Amino acid sequence: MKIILKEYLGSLRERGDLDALVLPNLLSEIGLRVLNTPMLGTRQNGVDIAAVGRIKGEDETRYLYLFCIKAGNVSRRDWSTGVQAVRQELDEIRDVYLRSNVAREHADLPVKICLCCGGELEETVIVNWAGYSDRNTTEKISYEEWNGDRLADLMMRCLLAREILDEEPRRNFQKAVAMVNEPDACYEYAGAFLRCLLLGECGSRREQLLRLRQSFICLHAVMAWSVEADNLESSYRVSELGVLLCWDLIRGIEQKKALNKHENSLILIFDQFLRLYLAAAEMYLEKTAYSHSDKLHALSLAVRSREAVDVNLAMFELLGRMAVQGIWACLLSRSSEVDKIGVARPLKDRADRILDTMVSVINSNPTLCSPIRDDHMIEVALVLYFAQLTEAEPRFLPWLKGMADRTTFALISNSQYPICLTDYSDLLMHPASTEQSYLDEVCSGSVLYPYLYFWMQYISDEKEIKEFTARLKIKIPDCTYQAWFPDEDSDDLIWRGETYHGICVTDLSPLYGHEKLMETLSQAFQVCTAISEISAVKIGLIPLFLTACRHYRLPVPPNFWFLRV
Amino acid sequence: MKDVNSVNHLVEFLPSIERRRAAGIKERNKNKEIQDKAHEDSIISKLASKQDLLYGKKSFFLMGEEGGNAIPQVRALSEFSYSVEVPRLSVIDAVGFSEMITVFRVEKKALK
Repeated sequence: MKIILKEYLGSLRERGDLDALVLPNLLSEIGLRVLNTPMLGTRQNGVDIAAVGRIKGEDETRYLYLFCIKAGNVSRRDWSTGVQAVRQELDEIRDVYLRSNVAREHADLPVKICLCCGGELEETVIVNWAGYSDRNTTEKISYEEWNGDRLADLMMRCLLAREILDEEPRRNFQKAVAMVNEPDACYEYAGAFLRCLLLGECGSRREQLLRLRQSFICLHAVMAWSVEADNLESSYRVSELGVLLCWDLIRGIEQKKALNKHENSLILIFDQFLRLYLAAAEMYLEKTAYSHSDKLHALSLAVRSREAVDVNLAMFELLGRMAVQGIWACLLSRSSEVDKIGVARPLKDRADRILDTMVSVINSNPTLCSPIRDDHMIEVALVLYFAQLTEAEPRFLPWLKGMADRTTFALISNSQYPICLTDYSDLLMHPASTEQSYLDEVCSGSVLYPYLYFWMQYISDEKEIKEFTARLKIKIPDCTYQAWFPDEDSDDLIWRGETYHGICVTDLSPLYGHEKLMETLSQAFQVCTAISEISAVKIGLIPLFLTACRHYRLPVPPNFWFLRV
Repeated sequence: MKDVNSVNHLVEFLPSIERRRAAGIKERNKNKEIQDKAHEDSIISKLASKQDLLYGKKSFFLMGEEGGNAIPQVRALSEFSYSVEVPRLSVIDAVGFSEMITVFRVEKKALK
């Protein structure tokens, strides 16, 4: 376990990983109170993190801890070259920070200045460090080296010790790390340890925070290993699961102006989970879609399978992830908080980039015109929702129209038409028969066709609509066309992956015409109002709800089908 | 081909082990069906007897001669195969490909 943690800490190369995500959580757990975390662009006078308190099991008195943080190993060059050289920063702490930045209530405390790195001090620097710390140590100021080994030790002792982390989640965490190259297995083990930590009963507020921090550190370690192995599929999936389960734990916080300290800590940790997820998604898209979207068939061929179903599933998965990421970027860019810190513009640019990439991906990978699973309606609806948010729906309407034609053509030609079965072996053998009984079984219900039909009223001519409904009438006359709305139980269940909740609205058959469909929907809107009771929707985090729908394969409710009437 | 080769490093879309195994079983069953059907419809198999060799790469047999003499013979086995290329479109755009084929089939030939 310690070796895993050491390797993980050593692999944290980016600024922000060690100092903004890992260390503050660790310090809080070992008994220190974090006074400030690093900010980009502000003068820090050498101190990346300041904390005050007594480390459990080590300190007998309170100290003011000042951390100078470097990612990876500290080499000779890090020690003395450049503006951010370690030596210069240590001098600044002594000469500037201690003279002008220490609050009055901490002024009398003894000070520990810690050189902290994820890896270790290289041999060429050890002598310099020893000389420096020896020369500058006084009665009040002492120096400590916090390398990867010490951090791993502290993690083992205070975050992941056997007394506070059971054997089962510990084993599952180790397996998840070992299986980062097999995303299904990694997801399964990561899901097991996250569920074990986050879905169990929390005895106290303290325990709630501890579990969230344990989960975050473990999740971050899995992600770091996944990035190291250059397989970003695992990191995407586990980080998405993490953010949903974290929300499940903290969603009870009431909306009010002044949050208490515990609630603030919870929000801060959720923010870290969310940042981790969005960063994982961006890395994943950078490697896949952004780099290869404009190359005809390239992404489809990257599936490296002889089965059309594999290509279809992989491309719709990619499309759904892009749409969700786009929705996050778009809605976050409109948040007033984001506007204050000046990242609204980059987020807006990101949304635009995703939009362009999505169009390229659809054009370069024609399998995206013929979904094989009925629940690919989720991806289609997410794309259209994102397109509407950015007022770019005209760019996607031809694709939607083509899909309506292709799916029903596949029905009449017994090709790979959408089916409501989700088991891979069923999809692999599909179409297993030309018999009507097979058709009736695999198309017993549909959420895709009502959605397509809903849009066809705005984009297709009468002839195309007639042909669409006629094909459905001939081939699947007994299909139950439907849509899903959340109910009052949904908020308790959706975040943890339960799918047995919600209200299924039927009578949405395209065979009855558009007016009937709209009438049924309009009545359903009046009766099925629980969407506004979903915790994330209530506070404006609609993307989180849509992320849950995609992750756990629940249809996008009609509330998000059409934004402008 | 340059575009196709540029995605060789992408491992994110690869089907999982279970899926690859399921696809492998499907392909194996399909191959077996093809072999059974080929054997069933083969003219040679109707004319000659069949022996399944489990080991070795040469076959020993006794060839009968006039006068009842049997001459031992060893013959190296040879292999023959026939292959066709599977159109890539049937994998990366199954329905679109099927639609294209259907259109070609129903289209009337242009009169000269």
